[in-house]
Amino acid sequence: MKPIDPNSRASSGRIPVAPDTSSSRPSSGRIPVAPDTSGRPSSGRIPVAQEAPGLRTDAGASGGHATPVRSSEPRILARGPGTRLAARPLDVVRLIFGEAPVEPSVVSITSRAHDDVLEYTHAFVAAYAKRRFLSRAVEPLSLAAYELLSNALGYASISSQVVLQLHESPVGVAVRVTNDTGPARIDMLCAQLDRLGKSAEATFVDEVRRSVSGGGGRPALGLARVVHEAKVGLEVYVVANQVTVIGRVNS
Amino acid sequence: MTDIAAIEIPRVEGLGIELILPATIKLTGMITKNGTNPDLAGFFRTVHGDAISRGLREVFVDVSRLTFVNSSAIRLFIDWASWIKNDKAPPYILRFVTSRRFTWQQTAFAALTSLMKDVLVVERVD
Repeated sequence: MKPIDPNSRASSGRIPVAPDTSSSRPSSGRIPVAPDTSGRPSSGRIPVAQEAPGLRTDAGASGGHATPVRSSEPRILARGPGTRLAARPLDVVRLIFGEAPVEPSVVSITSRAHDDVLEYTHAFVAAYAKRRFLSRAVEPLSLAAYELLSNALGYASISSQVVLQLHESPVGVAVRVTNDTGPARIDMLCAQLDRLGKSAEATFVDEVRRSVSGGGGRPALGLARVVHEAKVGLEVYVVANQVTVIGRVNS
Repeated sequence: MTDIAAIEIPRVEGLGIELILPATIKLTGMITKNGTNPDLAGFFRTVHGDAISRGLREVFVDVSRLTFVNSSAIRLFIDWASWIKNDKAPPYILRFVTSRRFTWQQTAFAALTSLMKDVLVVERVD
């Protein structure tokens, strides 16, 4: 199937749905996981992340130049003096400075960042999930797709594209959302992930409490729902101003 | 004084809204569309005012067949409970009828109840 021109998709007014042909890799039959941590030389150079304004890498915190962050070394960055929290493999949220893994997707939806795409995409994902997976996977996948896409649409740069993809494996399905955004959003995302990494439930309750009190600021209730309610672990990859969020659901 | 049966029901795609006398609102389907919240918020506000004017002791909100809501919709429920809580003397109890089949109902109302248990009660139908 030939690739679809993103511009023609946007102008057609339709949400294109097509099997992803961008990867020439054969499907491995397993859910793609975080980049290899074996320490072996990887198949090619691991992408070097640019340090986002407002964020600090370990190197930056120590006063040195920012050094390439291997994508095999996931880490959660926190603001404030020094950085911390070397992520563990089972962390529920991981922020990784590097490119997201190349994964063969079964569904790829690309659209301009516009709210209208949200409900239709969600309806498609929900219907797709009902046909493809056991019932226990439908609700988490549906929620993760909605909230991750909603976040991306809410914070994506104007006129940028947002891509939602689904990746299947024998053990589950992953939803992956990519968008361009600004450094302030990346900064805020770091803070939100840091809170979620400490306690998803506490963050969820805090977000509800903040709504009760009419608290200001941009809320993170959607992300908190994905982690706490849907029990979906998140991996977030940042390269320059592009953010990719991957949520994995066992089916 | 309005009558609950006379309250205008907003049209929200994917969402069924039913008013059942004397004091029940039944919501079915999904709330997914961004931008519909002002309509729903206005509707809830009207029901809230009606409940106060009629001196109701309880208002039932049956969400047991509301399969999916976005975060904005959860905030609407939070707002409604807050209107009651912020009153000097909470005028009525908001009683949510839920189902254990939907995770969002368990997590959202558990958190909400922990914060506003004096104005909110959660029941299960299954």
